Amino acid sequence: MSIVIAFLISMVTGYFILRIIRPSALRGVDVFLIPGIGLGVSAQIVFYSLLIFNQLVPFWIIAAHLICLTGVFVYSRAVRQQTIEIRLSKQDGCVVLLLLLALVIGSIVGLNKPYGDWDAWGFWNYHANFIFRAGTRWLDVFQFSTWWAHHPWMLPCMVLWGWGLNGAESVLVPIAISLIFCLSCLGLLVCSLKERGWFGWALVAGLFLLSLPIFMAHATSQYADIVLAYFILAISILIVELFKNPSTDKALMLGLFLGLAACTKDNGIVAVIIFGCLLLSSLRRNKAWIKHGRALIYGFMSILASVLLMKGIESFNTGNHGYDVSWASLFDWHRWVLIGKFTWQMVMDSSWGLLWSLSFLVLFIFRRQIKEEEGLGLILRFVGIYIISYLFMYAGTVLELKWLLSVSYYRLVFLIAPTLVWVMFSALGRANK
Amino acid sequence: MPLKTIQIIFLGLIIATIVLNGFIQYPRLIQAIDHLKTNQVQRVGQEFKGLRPYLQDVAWAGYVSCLKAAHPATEVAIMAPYQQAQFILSPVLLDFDKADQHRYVILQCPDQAKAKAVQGHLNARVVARSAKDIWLLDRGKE
Repeated sequence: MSIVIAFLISMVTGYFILRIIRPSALRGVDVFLIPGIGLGVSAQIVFYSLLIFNQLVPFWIIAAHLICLTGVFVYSRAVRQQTIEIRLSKQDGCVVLLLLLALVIGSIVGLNKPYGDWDAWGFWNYHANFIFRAGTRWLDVFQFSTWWAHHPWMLPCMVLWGWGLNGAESVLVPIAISLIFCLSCLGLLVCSLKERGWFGWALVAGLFLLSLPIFMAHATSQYADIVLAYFILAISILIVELFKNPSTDKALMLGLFLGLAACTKDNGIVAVIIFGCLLLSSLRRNKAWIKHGRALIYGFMSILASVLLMKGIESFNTGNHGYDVSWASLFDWHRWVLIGKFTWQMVMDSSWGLLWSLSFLVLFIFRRQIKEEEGLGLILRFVGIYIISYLFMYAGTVLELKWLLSVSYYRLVFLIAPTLVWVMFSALGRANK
Repeated sequence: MPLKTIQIIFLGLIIATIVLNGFIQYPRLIQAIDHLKTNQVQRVGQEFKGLRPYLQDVAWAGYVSCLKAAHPATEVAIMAPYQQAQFILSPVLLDFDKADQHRYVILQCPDQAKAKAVQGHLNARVVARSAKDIWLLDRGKE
C-alpha cells in the first residue's frame, strides 16, 4: 500500500506541475507526460536530500515531498486554469484497452524476473540497494572497483523514493517503475498520433510497438533504457509541437524533459547534446520558437544542476574513467566489419519484429511527407546522428568490442525504437492529407 | 502508384507483422505464466546469503575467483557471481582487484585443490562455507 501511496504522491505532484506549466485544457498526451515529471521530481528530491543529510532519511524525503506537493497545489490554484472536463470517447476506450493489455503482459513478464536483468541488480538497483543500506557511507557505492559505467542516478533515486516511503526494500518498486514508463511510452505514442487525427494509425502503432518481442522483454528489465526511451519520445513529440505552434509552456516542458533525459543515463546526455545542436541548426529555417527559448533554457537549467552534481560526485569518488576511446582503433577496419556484422544480425533478428525493414521502407517511400513537417525531419536527423555517434564510440572503445556490442548494441537502438515507430506512423498518417 | 494504395499495402504489412510477432510472443508468455504458477521465479545471489551474518560491520572484503580469463571483467562466469555477491551482501564492497589487502576474502572456486592453494597463498582460515563452492576466508589482519 505504501508503495502505491509513493507513486500517487509523485503522480499528483507531476499533475499540479503540469497544470502550472500548461494551464490550458488537459490533453491525452499531457496525461502521459505526468509520470515523467512526477517521478523525475521525486528523484530530484531524493538526490538533494541525500546531499543535504549525507544519508537517506525517509522522514525528510517524505516531508519534502509533502511540502512540494502542497506548494505546487497552492501555486496551481493561483494560476488561472481551464476546468478539466473528463469525457471519454470510444477512441479513449480503445487506448485504455491497449494499455490494459500492455499492463497484463508487462506484469506477467516483470514478475517473472523480480530482480530484473543483469544490469538491474548489477548496477541500477544495486546503487539504490547500497545507498538504502549504507547510511553515511553511501558515496562508497562509486568505488565499485570493476565498474566503468558512471551514469547519472535518477533511476536509483526513484527506486529509493518507493523504498523510503515503504520503509523496506521491495522488488515491486523497480517493477512498478518499469511498468509505469512502459505504459507511458505506449500512451504517448498512441495519444500523440490520435490527437493529430490519425486514430487508426495510432492504434496500429501502439499494437505494433507492443507486439515487438524486444519491447516488453526489455521494458520490464528494470534498466534505465525504458525511462530514457520514454523521455526521447516525449522530447520528439514536444519538439514537433513546438515547431508547429510555438508557445512558452511547450518550450518550458521541452527544457524540463531535456534535463530529465540527461539525468537518466549517459546516453541521455549524448541525446540532449544532439537535440541541442539540431535545435540550434534549425534556427536557419524556423526562428519562431526562439522567442520562447528562454523558457526552454529555464526548464533545462532546473535539472541541469543535479546532472552536473551527479557526474561530479561520481568523478570525485571513483578512480577509473568513463568510456576511454583509442583514436588508433577508429581506423581499424576489422572493428568496423565486426560492427557491420552486429548491425546486420540485429536487422535480421526476430526480436525486433521487422521494425527496421518496415521503418526503412516507410521512411524512404514517405520521405516527402516527412520533409513537409520540419519537426519530423529534425527527429529523423537525431536518430541518424545518434546511431552514427555511437558507432564511432564502439569503433574507438578500449573495452573488448565483441563483448560491448553483444551487451549494449541492442539497448542503444531500443532507446530510439519508440521514437522511430512514432516517426514512421506520423509519416503514414501525414499521407492521409 | 497512388499514395492511398501504398498506405493500404503498408497497413497490410504492419498488421501481418503484428500477427507474426504475436505468434513469436505467445509461447514465451505461456511459459512465463507457467513459471509464475510453479513459483519458478528468478533468484539472484542466494548462494552468498549465508555469508551475511559474518560480514555485518564489514565495509570492504576481498573477492577471489579461481576461474581465469583474458578479460575477467567481461567474463560472465566470473562477473555474474561477483556482482550477485555485491548485490546480496551490499553495503559490503567487494574488492576484485586487490583482494589480498582485506581481512575477509570471499573465494569462489569450484575446484577444491585450487581453493586450498588460494587459502594457503592468502594465509587465511575458513570462516564459513556456503553453497556452490563459496568460502569466506579470514586473514586475521587488514
